[in-house]
Amino acid sequence: MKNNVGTIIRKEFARFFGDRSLVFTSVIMPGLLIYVIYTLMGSFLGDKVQEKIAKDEQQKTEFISPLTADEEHLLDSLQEVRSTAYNEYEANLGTSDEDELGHLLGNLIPMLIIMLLFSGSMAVAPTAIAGEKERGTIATLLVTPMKRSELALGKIISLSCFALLSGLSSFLGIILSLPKMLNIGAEEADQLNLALPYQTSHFALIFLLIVSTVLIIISAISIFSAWAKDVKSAGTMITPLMLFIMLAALTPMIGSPSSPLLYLIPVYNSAQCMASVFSFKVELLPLIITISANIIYTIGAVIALAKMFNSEKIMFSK
Amino acid sequence: MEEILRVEGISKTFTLSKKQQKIEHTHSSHKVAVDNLSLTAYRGEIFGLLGPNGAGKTTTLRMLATLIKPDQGNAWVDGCSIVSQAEQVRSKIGFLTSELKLEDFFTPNYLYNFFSDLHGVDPATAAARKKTLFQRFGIDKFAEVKVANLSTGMKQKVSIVISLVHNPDIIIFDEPTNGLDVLTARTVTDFLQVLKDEGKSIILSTHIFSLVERLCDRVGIIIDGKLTHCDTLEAVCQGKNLEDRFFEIYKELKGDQE
Repeated sequence: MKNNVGTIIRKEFARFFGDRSLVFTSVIMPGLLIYVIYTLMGSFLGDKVQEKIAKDEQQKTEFISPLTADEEHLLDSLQEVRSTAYNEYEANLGTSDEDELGHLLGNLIPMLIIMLLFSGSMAVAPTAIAGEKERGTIATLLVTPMKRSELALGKIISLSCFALLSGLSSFLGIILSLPKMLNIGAEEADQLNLALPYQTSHFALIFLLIVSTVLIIISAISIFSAWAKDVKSAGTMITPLMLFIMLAALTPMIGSPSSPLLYLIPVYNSAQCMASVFSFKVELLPLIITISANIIYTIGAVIALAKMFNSEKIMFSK
Repeated sequence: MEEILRVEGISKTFTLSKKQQKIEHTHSSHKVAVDNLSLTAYRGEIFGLLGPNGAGKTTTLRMLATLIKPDQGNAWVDGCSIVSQAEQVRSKIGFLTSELKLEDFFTPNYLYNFFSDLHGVDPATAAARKKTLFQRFGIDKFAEVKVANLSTGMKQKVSIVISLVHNPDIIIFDEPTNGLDVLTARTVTDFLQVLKDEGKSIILSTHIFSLVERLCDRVGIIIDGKLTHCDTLEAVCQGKNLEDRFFEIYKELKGDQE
């Protein structure tokens, strides 16, 4: 079994990496486009902001005459009082810069990651399954003694790798263009990185969540694609799935789940867990439920896809 | 004679969509494609399946290749059931039909190796067999050319070679010379004779009477999903040529309907 799964994976890799236009459109272009667009946006907006700041500074300098020594002393005392009051307020509130930053990133980044994984999956999965049906090449595979489950597993593993690559490209595009979008220099960018107190364990958890999420998204798209007659109808059939994934990715903005059972909902669970990692509120139980559920769903999807490959009505309907 | 294929009462009915009903000029939502068909093929013979378009030849062959399941009946390929031992059946047969396509993106060389792997052929045997088959069909010069850039004839030759990567004992060919020029068609039919000489059993579906007369040991005539005649060529022809005999049988069965 292992051999045939490996054979299918090698063939899918040869197909994907042998097609320069496919690699360009699904791996290089997303990251490159994001980088170019964000950089241009940053450059345009940054120039405007810098102009405004310079203008304000000039107006301020013109308006305020130099302070006397007494005035400066008074101002320093006032600043000290305000600073002490703010620190006490923050201590009572129980939030810190780290918490605020975590909360902000926890709201935004899961949505971004999930949307990028979905678009990466859409770039590769319908062509690899509905496309093979449309071209009649899947029938050639189905007359070999290979098990249908081997074909399904080989497809899902290889497509997940391509979707991850596509998602990674977009992610790199965002990360590399972020300093330019914020219009900050290399030094400030370094300072920004230092200000994000994430550790290796956080990134390892995010990686695990990304892998389990991409498996579930690829599995779902593969099932719709196997059902569809051709790539075009697969695209239409996947639209409701896209809406569900978008909504699930947005949920960290609304709030966290009230019951651990809600972590059984695919994609929603990933979005919530990613948000908890980014906001430094990792809990073990939801994380275990999420990853286990996603793996179980993927196994279920492989079985379902194998059954679909075995169904003449699905594979050969005109 | 040693039996290699035994078919017992297989039937297949398809559900027709509204669109298909319109094309078929029928109000019935079902079409009986194969109706209680039984036949036997023996080791080392070429068995020809003759019939008009839509008679059920391709459906019969697709059932034997385990691409679709019979609604009733069963068939055994070298002792393995097409219903309950589909994977074993697929490892014993080589199947070629126009609905099986090769991926345009790959070269014949890559595809040969890929399908050899899927059939579990060891690399040394696969390489030796590839060399022989590629030389016989003149594919060696095009081994590294993408399938998309090959001529129709060369594509068909590659398809034939791919169907034989695992050196199967029973070969099922559905209209193997369809759409080919006379030279390529001749290469294919000569190869069928070579396969027979090697002791392979071949089930051949075709419209070409001369091909059946030249190659087949026994013949089955299928009309409206029913196998009307199944015997040696001499017994079916009754001293007439095959084409005349076929139309005689066809008229006897269809009568005034045509």
